[in-house]
Amino acid sequence: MIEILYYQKLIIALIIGTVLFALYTHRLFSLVKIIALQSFLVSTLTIVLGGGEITTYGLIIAISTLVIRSFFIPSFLIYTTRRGNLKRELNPLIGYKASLFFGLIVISILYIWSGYLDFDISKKLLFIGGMALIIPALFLLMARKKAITQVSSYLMLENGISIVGLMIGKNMQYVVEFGILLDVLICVMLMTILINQINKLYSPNEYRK
Amino acid sequence: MDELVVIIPALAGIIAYFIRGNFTRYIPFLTAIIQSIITAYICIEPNQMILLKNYIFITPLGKIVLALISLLFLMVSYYSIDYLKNSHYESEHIYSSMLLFFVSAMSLTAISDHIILTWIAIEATTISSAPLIFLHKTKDSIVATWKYLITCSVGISLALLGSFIILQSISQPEQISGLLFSNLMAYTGAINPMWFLIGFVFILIGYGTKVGLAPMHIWLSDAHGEAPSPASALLSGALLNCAFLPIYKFDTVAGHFGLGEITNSMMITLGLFSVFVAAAFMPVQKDYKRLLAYSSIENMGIITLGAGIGGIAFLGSIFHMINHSLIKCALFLATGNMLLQYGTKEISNITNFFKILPKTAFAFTLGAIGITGFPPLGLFLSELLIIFGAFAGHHYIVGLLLIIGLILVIAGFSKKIISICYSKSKEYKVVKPLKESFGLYGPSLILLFLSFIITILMFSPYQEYVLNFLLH
Repeated sequence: MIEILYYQKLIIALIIGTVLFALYTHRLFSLVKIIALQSFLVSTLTIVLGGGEITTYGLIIAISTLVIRSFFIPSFLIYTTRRGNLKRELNPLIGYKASLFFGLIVISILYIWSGYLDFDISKKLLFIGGMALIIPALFLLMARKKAITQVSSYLMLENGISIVGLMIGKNMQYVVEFGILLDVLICVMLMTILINQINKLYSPNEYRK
Repeated sequence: MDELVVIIPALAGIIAYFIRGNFTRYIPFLTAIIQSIITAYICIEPNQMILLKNYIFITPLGKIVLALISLLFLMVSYYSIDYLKNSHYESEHIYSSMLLFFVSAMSLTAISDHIILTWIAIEATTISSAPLIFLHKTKDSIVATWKYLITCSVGISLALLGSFIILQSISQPEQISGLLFSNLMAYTGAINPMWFLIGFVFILIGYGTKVGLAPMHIWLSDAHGEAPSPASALLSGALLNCAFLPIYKFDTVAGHFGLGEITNSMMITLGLFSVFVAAAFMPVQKDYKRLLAYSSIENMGIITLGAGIGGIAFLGSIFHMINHSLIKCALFLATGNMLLQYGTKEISNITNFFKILPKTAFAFTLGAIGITGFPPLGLFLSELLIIFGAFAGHHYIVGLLLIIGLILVIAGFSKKIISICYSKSKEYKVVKPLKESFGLYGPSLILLFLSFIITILMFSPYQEYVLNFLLH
């Protein structure tokens, strides 16, 4: 039990690190990659929390979730970034240093808030970890203009929500969890298709002429 | 086999995607006939033959929403046949299959009893309707689709967070075997009221985004404006009701735990705010489809408000939901003909409406009179019930504000409608007049007639049958 808690703490600390990196980076490539890493960590957290009790069926679902989350979905985004020749975020509404500062403030407020929560330690960690993803994700959605960044922040939001969802524990059926993932997958696919169309319709050639 | 209302449209959608040629435009109509028969069976004997009992249970309001979806789908798919003949889309198979997936996802929302499955179904409606909005492939439609996808996906994610928080507020989760609404209603143990309310706020914001409640309504006018008219009709008439269903279910759960007063006041506030936002934006609209979209925001606001007040106002809000769906669908179908004939969505370009499109003009004007809440159509009765309910429940200020809001809406809306119906110009020459076949104007008139019949029945000795169907 103590070991599971140790790994849980470690993974959530790493996830919070990815959040800070995502807030500070201005390269779209590294943003997408860090989101992929984050998704990988979130899926690992699901397996770790299952501990020794996880069934074969549950393990298959968990591993396919991990593959879809951390390889499939980011690969769409990477493909789109390459194809549209998009490199960096230009003129964000709120600067990178200010964003990083905002992230740090959110995390410290959450840390103080965690003292007042009446859950046990494992649930407390999950709630705070989830919130530390959700609030910066909503912030990124508003502060950045590029479509790729918006999709990445949407994925970050979904990651945060699935961490909060882990609090429910055994009541959550695997089928349902998989349904959520499927929805997110198709949604991101649609978004990448749309980004490609945007690149076509608003191509820079028009301005050159 | 109540699940067939979901499975059949989904299968038909897959088939329609792979078939090319003119036949694809008939597939939705054929499916709609089958779906209507199953829905009729479900309405007569709900919950008799459910296979997936751990996920599905049909509530009275769910039954009404399902019946509305099937009826509107039947009309819209019949209209689509003639509409597609006249409009020459490149990708008819995408239109047909996405329409079918959309209906399948909406039906799942109506019959689902599982908290998370409802969320999955609502997200699926977003996914399946986004390609419909993008069908014209113009710059405006891409902006509308992007706005729709991002706003709704993010909004609905918050609803998922809200659902998790509400489930977390239950002190003895081992008492609940599955995440069903009916299990929550049967739960008698303690809850943490603060967490429940925080969760409800997220639910209201999340699903409220999809309902189109202000201030989360920004996607609605663009999406309704850019989608092909039959799709707009389903978006406005059926989808908004579907998204309202979980809000209502969570509100009932809140009432069960004794928190109903607070959640109801949240709903009343958002509902009233939506009415006023719509009233403010209606007079400046230049596009008739966007005008109707703002009218949807107003009417969904009224429905939320009525459900928040409760009692007789709740009955009014059910009536409002039914009549709004019927009339708004009829209006959007009429705008399809206008768009085919005039080729523009600008209100100022619609001239000699009654001469060029007499039957459509009749349906449009009758629908517009109905949607502002004048008799003989049903919204008159439902708005009256909600206002009575507000005063009976001692919500005097709410009732008064609602009346003021409705007056502003009527003023803004009717000004635009009069300019559509009665502006004349001699210079306008019709290059190629549209032949108004029955398929183009029939569905609108049938829907308006149905709304009329329901209102008449409420004043007749058969009133009890109607109420019995609606509330049980």
